[in-house]
Amino acid sequence: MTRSKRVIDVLFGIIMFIAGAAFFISNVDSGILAMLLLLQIGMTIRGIRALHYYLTMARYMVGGKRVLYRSFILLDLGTLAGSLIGHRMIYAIIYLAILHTFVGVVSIFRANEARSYGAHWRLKMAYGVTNVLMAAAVIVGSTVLKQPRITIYVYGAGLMYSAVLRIITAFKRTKIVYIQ
Amino acid sequence: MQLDFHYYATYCAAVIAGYTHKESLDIAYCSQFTDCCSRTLLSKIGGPLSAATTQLSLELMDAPTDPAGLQDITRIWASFHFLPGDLNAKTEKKFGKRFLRKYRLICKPNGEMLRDTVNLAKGRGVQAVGLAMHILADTWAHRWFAGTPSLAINNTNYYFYEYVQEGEGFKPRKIKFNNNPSGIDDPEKGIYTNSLYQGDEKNIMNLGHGRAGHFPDYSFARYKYLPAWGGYREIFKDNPSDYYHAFCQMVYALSCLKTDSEFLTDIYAFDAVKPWEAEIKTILEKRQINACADWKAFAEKLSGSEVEDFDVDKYQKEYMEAGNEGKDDSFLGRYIIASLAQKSMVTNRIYKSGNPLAGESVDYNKNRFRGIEDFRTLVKEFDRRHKDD
Repeated sequence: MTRSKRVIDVLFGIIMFIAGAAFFISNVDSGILAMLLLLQIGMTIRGIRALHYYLTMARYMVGGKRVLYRSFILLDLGTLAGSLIGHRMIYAIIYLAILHTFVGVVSIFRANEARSYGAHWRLKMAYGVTNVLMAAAVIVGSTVLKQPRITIYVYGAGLMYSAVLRIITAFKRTKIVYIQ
Repeated sequence: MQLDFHYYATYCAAVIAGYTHKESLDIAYCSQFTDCCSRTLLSKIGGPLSAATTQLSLELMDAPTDPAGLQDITRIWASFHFLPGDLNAKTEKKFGKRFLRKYRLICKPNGEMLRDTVNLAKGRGVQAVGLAMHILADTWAHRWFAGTPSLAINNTNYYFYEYVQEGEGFKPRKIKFNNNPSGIDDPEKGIYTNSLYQGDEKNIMNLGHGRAGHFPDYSFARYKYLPAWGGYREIFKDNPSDYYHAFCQMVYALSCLKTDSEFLTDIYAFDAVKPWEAEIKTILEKRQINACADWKAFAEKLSGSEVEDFDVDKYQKEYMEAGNEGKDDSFLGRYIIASLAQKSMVTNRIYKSGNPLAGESVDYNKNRFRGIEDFRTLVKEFDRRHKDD
């Protein structure tokens, strides 16, 4: 990893961390608005990136047209999420619940696999269970307890966690030593 | 390739090349161990995690796909399973840099790096020999796929035909792929499992031959398909022929390592293998998803000794019980050194070619060690070898 990439990662990590922390002190309405806005921006960026990928790499690729269609769909979804701002947070709930469930289930499977090999597994299991619980908290908190704040907290915590990981990765040694 | 070729066939090649039964078993063990030496296994035995030569399916699912994570994945798969054939390859159409970097990681037999891989194993014991044989064999099976996640290189589509025998000749039959990871391949009906289509260029499902499933790993497979990178030109792959070439090249490479002579590419020990040609080709052509029994019977007939089944735990206890000073001299300790040396060499070649996909390589500096700590093991080995010289 180049030095400039490391610097960018640290700066981005700090911004992400601050943004995540802001979700804990924001009021519910502005929190939801910010969440949907970030989702919209993310989706639109993915759409643009897919379009760029099509133009630079996938144009001559077998089955490359699918990438083009995908980029249009993502761009459309980005716009759609934008039109929903201030109206519905169900999309944010579904997004968060699916994301945390997926990460959690993969981690639990990984932990079980590591356990069957006799390797370290407890931390992975704890991480997996925490993610599944977070997904459950989002669903139960928003639908049964009618507490949308929980969704915002989970989103903020996720951002802060990703930020910390990004910063740690930026400081990791990545060079491979070669001896002639 | 699978256990049948990496373990039993490698054992046979070693016996033909003149190694003893015990040496051949150890070479075969290390060849197959390359498909088992994951971070999970290394974490269990307390080995350096950078020595991983493979990733379990769930490790891959869980692997980060940021640039550093992708470089880690590429280092593992390009170094041990998809050795790039030509790091300076050019495309007919004018593609951008991003595409070219991935295109240059496509695995092919007889590349310059294969020569370096085999020669690197010299003087590093049977562990390095077995590791090199795994890599050599895989260059034939994994030809035309790259050891980095890439949709633009590794994707396949519905145009995928297998040639099945009908009367005297062969007839193409369309392959049905399904995405059920617990599904069992059925060569009779032509149904095979592959990885799910994922439109993201860097998605892990697009690593190596995942989109073609295990099919390229079967020695009986003859097939044609449209590789994503090929500009809609089909490729025909003849595995029985390729696997026979792999076997004969292994015998030649093993002879070179045994006699400490220079390994050169595109040379095959056809003459040495001639007496068993028909028998080997019969095993390679047989339509079965596991050829272990046939290879084992041939191996025992060839050497006149019993060939034990592969046991991944065989040398783990010795490594775990060795003290810190003794680990590098244990059986697995030597394997770990060989794998670190291979990873270091391949990363260096890719990096020096101007391609950053496998990460950054730094020359060893005695005054200031810059790089991943695990590679200090290599430095220690280097010092030891120098002292011996």
